[in-house]
Amino acid sequence: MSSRHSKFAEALTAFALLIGWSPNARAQACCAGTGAITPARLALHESALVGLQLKGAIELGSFNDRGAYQKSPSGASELDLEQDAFAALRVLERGQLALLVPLVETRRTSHAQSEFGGGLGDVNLNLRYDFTWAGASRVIPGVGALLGVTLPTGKPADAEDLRPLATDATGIGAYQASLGLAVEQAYGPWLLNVTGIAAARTARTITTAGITVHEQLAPQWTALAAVAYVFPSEVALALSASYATEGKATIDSKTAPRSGHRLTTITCGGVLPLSDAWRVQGALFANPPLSGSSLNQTGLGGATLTLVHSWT
Amino acid sequence: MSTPHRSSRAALALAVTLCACSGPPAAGTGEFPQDPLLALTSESGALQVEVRTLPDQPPTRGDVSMQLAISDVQTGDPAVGLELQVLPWMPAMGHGTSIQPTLFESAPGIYQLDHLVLFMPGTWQIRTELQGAVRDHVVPTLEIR
Repeated sequence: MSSRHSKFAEALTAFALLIGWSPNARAQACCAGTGAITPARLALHESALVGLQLKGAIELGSFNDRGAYQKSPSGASELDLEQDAFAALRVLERGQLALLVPLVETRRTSHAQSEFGGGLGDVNLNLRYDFTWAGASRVIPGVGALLGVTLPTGKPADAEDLRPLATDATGIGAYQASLGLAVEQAYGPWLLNVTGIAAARTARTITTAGITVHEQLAPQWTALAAVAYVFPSEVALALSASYATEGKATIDSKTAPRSGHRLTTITCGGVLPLSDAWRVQGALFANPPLSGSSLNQTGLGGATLTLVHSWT
Repeated sequence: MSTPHRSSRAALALAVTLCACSGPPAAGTGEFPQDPLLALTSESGALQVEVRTLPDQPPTRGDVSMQLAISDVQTGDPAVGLELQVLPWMPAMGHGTSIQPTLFESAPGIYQLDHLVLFMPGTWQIRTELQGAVRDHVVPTLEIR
């Protein structure tokens, strides 16, 4: 593989990693599953990889059901931690399969109560198939299909054996399927990417205290745009923005008012190749505290640190 | 959902129902504000429901006590001896809570929920079934910061 090709491959990997963590995963673990994109993307020359991603985020505030941003009240706080073990394997020349296993912890404080808990989150399996590769043609961009499935291996927030503030809630309590299309192209050291993802969850039926709720959340649509720059040293920097939107939920066959979602996330980060086999990546992300940018969401700000080992 | 799960939820439902009919357990501290946070009409239109909260009104996240003052819309008489079943729910997130609030009738037509743990910001529905002389339904909706 030529030096230029190697650099390009690394850059693509960097790009994938920097933009790669699902926008859904920026939200609280109890309320959003992982999607069709994970950090476990193989570069062109790689056949397999394993990695570990550490994530920490704090609550900055919240967006109400009219989109108004409000700071967290005095005495209330939330810290979200996550450790994701992931692996990817090239199963076809153009196809790769990835598995992500998250551990999720939350610390919540409210009035005089403070609580810490966690556990296994929702395991995610996803498949990426590249019809064309970025940079292979000046005209035709890289086009990849993304397919993800999230399994309800975590505990939903209404599980029976949770602590009062539900800090040990680690999952959404439903299956989630995601389908996406990624288009990306290289222009010298610059890489551009646009990705669209549609996700749907299975309905939940919960019976508690003699009351049954049957809720179907609306499909979620996510658009993501990113740009990355690769330096001659193969260090890469990237900036991405994602916007996810979701219609109103249906409860007991009726549309639930004030239940739609929006979530805007800005991410910037970098990747540092340590050797041919090892790379480390870091990113900062935030849901901008601007009214109207998100709806019915907690606003978070945080960081990720990822270590990857790959095999060619 | 497994059978034991159903059994335990049924037991919880029974406990909540029994609480509504028996003497008060440990009540929330402080006094509810005089002015209601919300004034609602039940689904059938027969009952008026005033909602007050403690320790803050409007409530913030955490352990909340809520008072439902229920009366007949036409006569204004308190609706006494109702059995209430309550399920807190976040419609935008698709989940409820793991903790069931305790419930008792603190005065004729005045029902108090304690340990309503609204642990995260957002819109919470307090889905409430009313049974007794009438069978009705009301859903106070709280915006939690």
